[in-house]
Amino acid sequence: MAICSYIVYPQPGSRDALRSKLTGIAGCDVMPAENNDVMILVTDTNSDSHETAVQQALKQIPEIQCLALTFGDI
Amino acid sequence: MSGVSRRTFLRMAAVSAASAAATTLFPGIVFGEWVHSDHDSSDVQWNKTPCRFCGVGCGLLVGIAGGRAVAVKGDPDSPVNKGLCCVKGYHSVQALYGKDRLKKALVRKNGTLVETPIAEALDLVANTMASTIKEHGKDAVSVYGSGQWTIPDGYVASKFLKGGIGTNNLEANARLCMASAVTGFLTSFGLDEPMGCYEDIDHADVFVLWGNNMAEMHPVLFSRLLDRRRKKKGVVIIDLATRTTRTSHAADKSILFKPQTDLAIANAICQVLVENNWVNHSFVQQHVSFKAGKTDIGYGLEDDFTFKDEARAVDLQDFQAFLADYTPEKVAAYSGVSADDIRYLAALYGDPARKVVSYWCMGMNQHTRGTWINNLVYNIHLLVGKISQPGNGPFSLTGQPSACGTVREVGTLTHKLPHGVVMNEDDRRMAAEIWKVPFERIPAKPTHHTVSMFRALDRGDIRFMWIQVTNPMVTMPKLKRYRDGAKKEGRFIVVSDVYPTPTTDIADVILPSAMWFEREGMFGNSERRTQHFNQLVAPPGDAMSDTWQLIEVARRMGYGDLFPWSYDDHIREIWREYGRFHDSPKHAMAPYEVLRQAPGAIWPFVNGRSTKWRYNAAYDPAASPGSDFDFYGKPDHRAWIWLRPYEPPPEIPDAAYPFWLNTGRVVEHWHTGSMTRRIPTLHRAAPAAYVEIHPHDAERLGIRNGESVRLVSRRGEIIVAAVLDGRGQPTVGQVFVPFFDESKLINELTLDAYCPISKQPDYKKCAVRVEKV
Repeated sequence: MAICSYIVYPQPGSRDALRSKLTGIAGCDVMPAENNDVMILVTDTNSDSHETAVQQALKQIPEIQCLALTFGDI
Repeated sequence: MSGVSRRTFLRMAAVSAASAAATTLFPGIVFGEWVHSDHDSSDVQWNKTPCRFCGVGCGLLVGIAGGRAVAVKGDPDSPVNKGLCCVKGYHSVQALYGKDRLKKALVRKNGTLVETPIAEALDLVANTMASTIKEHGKDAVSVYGSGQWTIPDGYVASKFLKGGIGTNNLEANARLCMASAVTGFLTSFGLDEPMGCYEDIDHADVFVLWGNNMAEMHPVLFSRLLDRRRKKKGVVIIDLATRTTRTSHAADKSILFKPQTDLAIANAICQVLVENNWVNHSFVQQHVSFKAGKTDIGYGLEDDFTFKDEARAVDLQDFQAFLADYTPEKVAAYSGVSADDIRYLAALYGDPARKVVSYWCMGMNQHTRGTWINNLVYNIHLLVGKISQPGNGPFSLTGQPSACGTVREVGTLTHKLPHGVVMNEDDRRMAAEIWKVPFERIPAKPTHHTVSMFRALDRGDIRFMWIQVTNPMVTMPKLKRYRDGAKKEGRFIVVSDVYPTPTTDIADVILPSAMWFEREGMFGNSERRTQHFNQLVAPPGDAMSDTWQLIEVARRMGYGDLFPWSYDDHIREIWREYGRFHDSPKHAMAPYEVLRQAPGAIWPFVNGRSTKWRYNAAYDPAASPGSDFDFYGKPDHRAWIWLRPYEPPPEIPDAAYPFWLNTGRVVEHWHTGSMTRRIPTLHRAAPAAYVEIHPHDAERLGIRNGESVRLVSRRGEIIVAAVLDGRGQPTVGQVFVPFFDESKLINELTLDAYCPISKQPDYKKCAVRVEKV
């Protein structure tokens, strides 16, 4: 049931691929910067199992260089 | 906080926290639109389609719910726009739902347009077309289409007119926007369309924009230029133009030149390249021929004007001698560009360590020497061998979503066939065989280009005109003559459109058209990319695709054997038949099944792969193996450098009409605004046309910002509000008016002079006077 936000740093050259993968995860919304490679990720999950699934999915994305939590508690 | 749930509030707080953190880390950072999870709204189905509001061909994802388009976002899988859209793209689907959408056929009865069953209206169109042919001959009927025609629309129109009726009276509004690019390509390379692709942006070091306000006209591509500059040190953008625009402000350098002198500037750049021995001699010796054509070639102002160019072989020494008239100092004297700036431009092109792309669109094409200026920019790239390689090349941008795919590739112009030209017997035989029509039926002689066609309508040589997807009663230059001509007794005008326009005002029959993804179709964009779209929603009322309207009328006239397809499969079958015209490594088209799945494919599509750079043997399967470059469009397998001089335009400001008039578009509106002005956000952003005037001129004439002024040319006048220091700033002695506003018809003033080779009119230069009202 958590709502979290992150600043997401993509691996060099993988911004578009990363954005595509993130938006493919249920409960993830992305707001890309127009003049920078970073993007804001908001995760909005409806159960503990959903939250776990999102966390697992994020861990498996190689295009993520760094994920900085800016809001929420996980 | 009423109306905001706790969860929404938490989400907003989450976004605010991330945004604040990002701003601290990256001062000045700007965030774009939300890209939502694909799984958020299970009731919305997302479908791909190319945008239809310019020639860039951005991939969109359109959200459909309840049989209606409810949302739009950029397609992250599209290599064109990579998920980004411009303001028109983001609002595009609202254009389907204007209150006054045409849903029923209208037939003029006793001077009044009366709602009529669509079958009855189609009967009337077919019967009138047949009776006109019987009474006045087959060249008395014509079809005038558009670069917004889908590929199947254009293909069916060509087959119906040329293979069925047997007339070459087929033209399209791309004659007004891309014809000079076509003749430029044909005369320099023997084949139409750019050799490179948008991926050039990801490799180039220098972008030179020739008379091209890319920030407003091709904003998504321009954002890719800015992104490239941000990511790679040393990348520069040069804006070479006649007025200061948003592009100028974003560029590293803005160079302003006097109208028409781009011809001289291009020659001066070549002069510096040759003088400094920056020529790539190896490339030139192996891959270039030198040619001279006719000069003092006229402007097409007379109804009986004709012109045929002749190429004469010359050599590098002749070229060098020709360039003696174009030293930077000589050209600076009349172009307004300093000799230093000309040398700076030449140094950019001549630096072997820098990759250079040149972009242009209407500034070079809508030009009484449009073919020549296209040739001259090719000359620069050919001299230094910067062509047909990633990041190096001249690139003619397109204005309309399928000016390339439909008008240029299908060939919906009087002289064209889906492969080749009507003048060529082999091309006619190919068309006759594929269409299964008698070879003799396809006439060998072109009839009328667009300006000539409307002149013929005025004179009465043409009696019937069917206009689809375009609005010539706003866009024709010297508009009054052609409006009056179309309204003359004995003319019959059919207009297929989605909204009422000044063109439907003169129609005898109005056919309601299905718009964009209300039907299945394909567009072809600037980079040779063909993109398919499915029918996603039902058209309103009796609205029908232009393809199917043409087929219905053709069948009524007895040409049903040419169109044997069912409604369900006609787009697929048209694509397969059309593909036979291009069945070679030089132009092979992607299969229908590929297009349905992929975000487009670039032709030549050979062995399952798009060809990103033509004429380069490393990428192009049609190039001769063992060569590095092969300009196989010409019989000598060489690209041609043309000796083309500066010649002045036909009308120059004088004491009576002291201002240059330049016309064009704005970012918010598509062409004549018939669709985008019905999108509330876009209409509010740019509600009316205006005239940009330099503050010095305004002060001299006592004109203040927002005041009404009268613009007068030798052909007509309009009253518009003056804008000083607006989004664009003309030079002293020049004014600019956008043409999107049908209540302020700037083409009442423009001149119908055209390039004698391309027959494309010049909307960028004529003489006007400015009067305070």
